[in-house]
Amino acid sequence: MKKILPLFALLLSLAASRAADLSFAWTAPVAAPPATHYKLYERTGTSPNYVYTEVGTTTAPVTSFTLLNVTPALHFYVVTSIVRYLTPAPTDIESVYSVAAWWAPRPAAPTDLRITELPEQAALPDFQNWFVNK
Amino acid sequence: MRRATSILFVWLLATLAALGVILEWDAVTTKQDGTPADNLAGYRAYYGNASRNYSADVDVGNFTSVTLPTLPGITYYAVTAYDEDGLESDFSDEVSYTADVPQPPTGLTATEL
Repeated sequence: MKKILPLFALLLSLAASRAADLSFAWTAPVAAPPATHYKLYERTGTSPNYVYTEVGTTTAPVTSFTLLNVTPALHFYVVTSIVRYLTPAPTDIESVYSVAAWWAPRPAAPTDLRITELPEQAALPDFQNWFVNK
Repeated sequence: MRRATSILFVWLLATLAALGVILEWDAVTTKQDGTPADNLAGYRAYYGNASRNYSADVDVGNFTSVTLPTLPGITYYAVTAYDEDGLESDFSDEVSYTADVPQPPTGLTATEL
């Protein structure tokens, strides 16, 4: 029994912190030149020393991406537009980073909600009439 | 509405991707009727994202070149000349510059599946 309890606690902990799948969507820029690709980055660190790690690429006109198995913590993401020129040599020209979107696991819903009826209120003594009668 | 003094010839001399563009044009020497433009006072450069509908202008003075910013997408440029009486020419021919660097996407959202 002593060996089973820690294992049970570990399983409970893992279940509570399971990875998430995230769906990203964005709006293509209107201004020319038209993007040929998009890159999704995770942004870590603090301003002005952000670190950007590429986590996905899509080919226009697709403006969405699914990221699997994201660890349950606060994450920031940005996306860029890419214009890929093939001549005279393959070259990617990339926009600045978009405004960041963030995701963090929501708290679990409370469980075992219970309701109890209050006991009936005892009637207060009628002091006004008590003095008159006295 | 504008009283033309001459036709300007403008061309895009060079492009500076991040800093802007340089516009250069020939000096105006005559009025619209062909007489000498002896009271020419300067030039005004216009630019914006819509062709022939400019959103900004710069008084260049009596110079025949100016460095102007580029806007996201396509930026259109034109120049006018004005004289000491404040009379301004028609717009010159128009030139344009298309930004090489794309704009970033907008409205990024992250949703848990």
